Amino acid sequence: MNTSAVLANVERANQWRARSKVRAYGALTWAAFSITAITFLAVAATVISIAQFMIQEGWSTGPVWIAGLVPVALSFLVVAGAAKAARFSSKARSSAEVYEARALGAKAAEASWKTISYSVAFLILCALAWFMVVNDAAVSRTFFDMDLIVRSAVTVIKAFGTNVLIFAVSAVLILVWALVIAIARTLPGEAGRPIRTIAIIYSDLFRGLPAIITIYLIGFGLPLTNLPILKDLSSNAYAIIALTLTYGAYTSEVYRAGIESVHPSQIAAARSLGLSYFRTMRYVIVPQAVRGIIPPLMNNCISLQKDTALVAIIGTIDAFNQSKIIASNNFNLSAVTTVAIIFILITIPQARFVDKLIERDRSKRRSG
Amino acid sequence: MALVEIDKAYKHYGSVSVLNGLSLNIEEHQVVCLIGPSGCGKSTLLRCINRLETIQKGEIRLHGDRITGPGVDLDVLRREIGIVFQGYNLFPHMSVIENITLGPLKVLGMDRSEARDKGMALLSRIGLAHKADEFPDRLSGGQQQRVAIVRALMMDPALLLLDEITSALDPELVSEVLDIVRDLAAKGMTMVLATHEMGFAREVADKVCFLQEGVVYEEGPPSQIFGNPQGERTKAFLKRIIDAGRL
Ligand SMILES: Nc1ncnc2c1ncn2[C@@H]1O[C@H](COP(=O)(O)OP(=O)(O)OP(=O)(O)O)[C@@H](O)[C@H]1O
Ligand SMILES: [Mg+2]
Repeated sequence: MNTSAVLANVERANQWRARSKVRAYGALTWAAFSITAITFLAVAATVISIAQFMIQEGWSTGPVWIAGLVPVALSFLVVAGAAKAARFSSKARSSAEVYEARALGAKAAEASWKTISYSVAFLILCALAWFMVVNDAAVSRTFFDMDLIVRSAVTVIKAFGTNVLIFAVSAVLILVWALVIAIARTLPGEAGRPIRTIAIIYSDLFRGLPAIITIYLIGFGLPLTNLPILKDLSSNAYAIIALTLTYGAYTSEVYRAGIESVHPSQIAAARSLGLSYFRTMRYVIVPQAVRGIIPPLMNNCISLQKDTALVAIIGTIDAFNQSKIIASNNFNLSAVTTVAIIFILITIPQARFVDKLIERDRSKRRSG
Repeated sequence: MALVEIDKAYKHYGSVSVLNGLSLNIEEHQVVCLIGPSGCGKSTLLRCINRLETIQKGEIRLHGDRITGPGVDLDVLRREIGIVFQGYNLFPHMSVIENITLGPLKVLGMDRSEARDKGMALLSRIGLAHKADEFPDRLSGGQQQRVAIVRALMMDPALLLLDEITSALDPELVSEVLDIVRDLAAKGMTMVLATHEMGFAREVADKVCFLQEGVVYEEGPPSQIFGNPQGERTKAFLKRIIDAGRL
């Protein structure tokens, strides 16, 4: 190597060393400390005013203050975290050892971001708490009348049985019906075209139509048609038909995406063993398609459970309709809150489960 | 009469013409190797023979019976003509034994134990009996390709088409796959191979066809094609191969 090249390399190395200095994140830790301090004050103020209000309302003093102490203590811990971050930062600045200083700086930054995000969460909770108690606690009285919630629970849960029934029957029908539509949509060749077209029209139509309108039209329309059998089904049956038609269209799209995600070479391989188109579908394509679509199918399933509440519009006494009746008898919406709670309790675990499935799938793909 | 007669076959995709009046005979018990530059239509020709693709002009006959044109029962045709692809295309949701018995069970209507026995016998022949219940993604590329060959053999085809079956494999896995082909050739299996393995083509082929611009530019025994090629293009192609150290 000639001299000028060697000099250039030395120059390059010096530049790198000059640039990669230790970062102590002093400003960040200060910002974090201020934010957490403000949050602490906000939490304390919120707790004091809510506690005073509750005591005024006749709650006993001791427990209210003890309960109030918990959020205050937690937000103080966050302040302490920010202080620790500031200490790391100052140590990083004064440390003579570069690698150690970098490690301290990184710790300071991470701790600061953590306390900031906790603070934001606390502030959001404070805002919600204020929302509940302002205007003489109008919000909590309207939606969270504990007494009414407890009293209405049994009746509403019984009516929820109707939702469960409608859900269970339509879920099974949808799974089958949607597969039929999906296969119709993927039929190959010229011969398949008419059926393909019909299937496309069907799924466009029912995906475009709001579910509530489909339910309304079927629930009130079919009885007026005077068609044998169809005219005098129960309102549950109309609800099931309507939901199956609507969700069949959505779910067929999920299936179709699954079918089309299987590589065409799999079709070639199966067909070249002499398997017919339908056997290829049945033994090779659909089994592979189904694996990837379980999460989206579950999402549809959750959404179907919620939409069983739409049947209230055709007079089915489901949980929602029942709670509306109770609500209007008591001039208070808390009975409807009961239904809301039931739906949330049922769907949240499923949503978590779907997330887990997706996560598991992803990690499998990462490792494999 | 040859087992397969290809008579002036034409095939184009849109404006790209791939086969330009290609004619070729494949005799019973013959091993025919197709060689030629990438994109010359080797895969297309194989896919046309078992009707995964359809030629637009000309005809192809199997046992003297025309198999192009309308009204041919493709599912029956494909029992007679097996194909193995470059990318193995095993079914990932089935174990090895399920992969290879699917055809016999569902297409030939063989009963379960008979299909399993036959499958196990073929797997032992290629030394993979212990992998019968594994899933394809737990097998090496070479093992997967050997299973793919067995899957095609399970249907007792009259003709086996092999499309660059070693080109996705690491060099050390190539020989285990080629050993099977050699074994099949010795047993009299009629095969058509599209291949870039010139050394192997030279060793195993009864007839080598050099494809160029959609026709068989030159065909003959390996000694002629590799030792004393007649056409200018064949010579140029072989020179490139030899310069690249592949022969
Ligand atoms: N489905 C298709 N649509 C359009 N063009 C295609 C299609 N399949 C193949 N071709 C074209 O046909 C030509 C021949 O392709 P083919 O796969 O038969 O070549 P090959 O000889 O097998 O090449 P290789 O040695 O690289 O495998 C190429 O130019 C390719 O681009
Ligand atoms: Mg090819």
